[in-house]
Amino acid sequence: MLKIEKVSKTYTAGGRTLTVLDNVSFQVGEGETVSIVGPSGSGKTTLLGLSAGLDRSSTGTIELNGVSLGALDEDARAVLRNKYVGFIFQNFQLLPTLTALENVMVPIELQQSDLRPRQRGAGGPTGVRARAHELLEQVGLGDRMHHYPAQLSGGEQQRVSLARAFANRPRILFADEPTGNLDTETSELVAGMIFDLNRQAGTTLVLVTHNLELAASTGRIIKLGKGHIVSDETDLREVPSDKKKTL
Amino acid sequence: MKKISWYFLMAWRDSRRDQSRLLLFIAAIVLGIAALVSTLSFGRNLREDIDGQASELLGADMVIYSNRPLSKADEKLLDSLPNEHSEECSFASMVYFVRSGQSRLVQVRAIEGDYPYYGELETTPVPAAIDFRKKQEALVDKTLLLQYGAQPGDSVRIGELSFMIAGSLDKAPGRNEISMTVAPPVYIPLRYMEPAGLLKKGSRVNYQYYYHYLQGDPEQFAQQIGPRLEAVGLHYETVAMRKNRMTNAFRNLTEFMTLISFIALLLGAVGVASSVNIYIREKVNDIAILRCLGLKARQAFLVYLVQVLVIGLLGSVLGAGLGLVLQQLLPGVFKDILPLETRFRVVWPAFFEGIAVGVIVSLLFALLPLLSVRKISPLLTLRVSLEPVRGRDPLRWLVYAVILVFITWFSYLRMENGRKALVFTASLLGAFLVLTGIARLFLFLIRRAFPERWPYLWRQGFANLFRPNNQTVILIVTIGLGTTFIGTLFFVQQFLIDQVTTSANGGEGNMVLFDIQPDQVKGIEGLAGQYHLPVKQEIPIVTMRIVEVRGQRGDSVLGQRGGSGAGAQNSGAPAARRERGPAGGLRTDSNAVGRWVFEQELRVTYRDSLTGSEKLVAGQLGAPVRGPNDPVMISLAEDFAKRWNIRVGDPVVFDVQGVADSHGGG
Repeated sequence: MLKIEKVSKTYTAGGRTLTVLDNVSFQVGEGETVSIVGPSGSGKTTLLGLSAGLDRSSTGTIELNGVSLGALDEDARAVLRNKYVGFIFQNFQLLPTLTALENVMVPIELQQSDLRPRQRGAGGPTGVRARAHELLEQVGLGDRMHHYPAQLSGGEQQRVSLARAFANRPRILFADEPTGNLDTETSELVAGMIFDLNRQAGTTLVLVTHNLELAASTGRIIKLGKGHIVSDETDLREVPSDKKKTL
Repeated sequence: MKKISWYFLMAWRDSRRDQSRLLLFIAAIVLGIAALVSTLSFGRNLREDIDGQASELLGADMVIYSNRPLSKADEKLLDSLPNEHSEECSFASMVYFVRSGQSRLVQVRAIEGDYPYYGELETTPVPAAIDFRKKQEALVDKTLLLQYGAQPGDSVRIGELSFMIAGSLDKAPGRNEISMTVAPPVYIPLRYMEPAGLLKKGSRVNYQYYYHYLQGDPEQFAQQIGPRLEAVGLHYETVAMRKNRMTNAFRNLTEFMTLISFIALLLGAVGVASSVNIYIREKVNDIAILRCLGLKARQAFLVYLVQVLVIGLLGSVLGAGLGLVLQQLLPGVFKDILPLETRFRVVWPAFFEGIAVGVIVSLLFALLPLLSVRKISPLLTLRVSLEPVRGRDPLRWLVYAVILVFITWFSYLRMENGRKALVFTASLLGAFLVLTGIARLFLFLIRRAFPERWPYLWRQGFANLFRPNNQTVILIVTIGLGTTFIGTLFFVQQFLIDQVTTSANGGEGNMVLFDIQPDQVKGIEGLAGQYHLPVKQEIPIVTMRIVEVRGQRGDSVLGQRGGSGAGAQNSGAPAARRERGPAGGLRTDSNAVGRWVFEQELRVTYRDSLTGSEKLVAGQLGAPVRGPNDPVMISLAEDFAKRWNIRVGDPVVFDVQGVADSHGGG
């Protein structure tokens, strides 16, 4: 599903070159759940950005769902993200001028309007709304659909974000510190939802976190240090691929 | 390509909680569009009013202006078509208000006939416009009546006669409030001119003859007889000529106002660029989220372009509507200088032109910040510290070029002069670049000489000028351009005022006394001294005639082409004699001198220097005469020299009261 090969990322600022990632390689299989952990500045978020096609690597190759990202321009990567990738951010990243329902609808609308009418499936705009409605019900926000993000608590916003991440039925989900801005109780609730929805959808999950307890919930933990992979441990509790479902 | 409806939906969703910010955008262009639409509408209405009321402005089909009565031959020429006509003698004279015992200089207009044939003399009471012609009565300008507390039924004394005031003159064809204030008119019947003793030898009287042709085309007729009228020193004006003269005069006014409005709109457009810039900066994170979710760069740009277009259209429609309201105020503002009645009509082309210009200007100026939307990275969702826009965008240069082309094109449409349009645009660009340079220099100096020891408040205030997302440069440019435009307006206003007040400045005279005989000079000086009126200059006036120009003698020219008036054959164009060439075609002799040059009696004087309102356009002021054979150098007013076809260096012989003397044109 995700293939990282000899990837490096360097930044140049003020005449100085800073290597954030240095010759990193690993693969993530379909349906696998992976945590990337490490101290601040170890390159976790950079690796996530590169893996999701939000940024370009300096060297090396990245393949997402069999497509080499290096060969794509920014617009092509945007289409690829919309088609195959879901995101969950530490600070939720909801659009403040859209209601919860509309926030969840956006990725589907983007996907739908790129398809020919025959490919859009049943429902059209009504179908988009119904799908978003269903997802919000699943995360327990059936009664908050028409609220704006500013009218929701942090936990609720992250649940909307979770519903949005699954809206376009992604093949891979990238989560950047999904519980980093939440209290312990809400964190557990949201983390539970992430894994539940992920299990149901059979989505590949790549999780960047400082939270080792949360990382332990994934089948594999890649530890980064100073831009290198320090360890890559696989847990036997990995979800078998034959249990994949679609939402 | 996404469905267009999705862009509108997304634009609406994106803007709905930030609409107050977009109001700033609307406010920036509403006033500019309102000013543009009101001036465009006013200009077009004024042109239509001039077209529709041109006959009323002249009061007749043709008016003959002269400083002498018409000769029999002149009358015969003018009566070639069936007509009715009126005669008017006008001159400046004192009028004495019997009731108040006060007197004042007025323009006496002695009239005979049914003038005006188009429009009317508006009087109170209404019948007075006709009745005063039948009796020994006068029509007196309404402001004069107010000023001297007189009313219909009172008497005024003009010359040796008393006239009863038949009514107040409220409005006369072709005359505006200002002209009636400067030279308030008093109409009397022409037959009382002589009994009043107002016509004496040497009186400065202007004769006007108003012709109303009952058959034929007056314009065509005027074209046919025009050269012959000019040949005998008569000036004429037809309805079409008046229309052209007025249209040209007011075109300058309306086009100037339109350019000022356009400048106001451009200032607003800088405001648009600024407000969109701020709006987009606030939207950077939202755009990054959308890009992360799969929105392409072009699509993100289109979402915000739709917002700008809709808001620009809304602002333009509001501005155009406001412009229609403002337009109704303009006739009131200019009523003192407009000699005609302007009516309010909705000018739809101006309304839609205003909207189109508003949308185009909004779009062009909003494009500069909007282009940056394409460059916003989705990575900002993960790293907020990332610089939002990276790299140079060649499309910005294209937008700058289109803006300059648009400004040039629009100003060309207004001025109909490519050079002026280019100068206008270049000046704007120059002002913009200079102000940008000043703003950057200011920021540089603030950074270099930052007041580290100043109180916290001051330090924070200065630091905010160059912190990220500051608007210092754009604010300095906007305020600077606004100040430049307002300053330019004041400069132009002062320049015009200076031109007309040169003669009123301290050293200049403000009264002229003519025809003082040598034995009267001492007495006049004494009288002026009693009233503390210094005599600025005493100059002799000598009556002369031109007898020869460039070797062409007057008697020869006059003899060759017969007498004056209707009988003259091909009596010549104003500046060149036309003769039949060998092949029968019309040949122009640029060396020829018109006969009227030799017909006129000239009052000639001298001065050794120019006044403030005069300018030497060619040659030099007279050189000293060293011997009896030296020519005396003279100077001519530019328009005289052109009309008479006399150039610098031409020898001219004058008949100075019976003595021929040679002079050179200087």
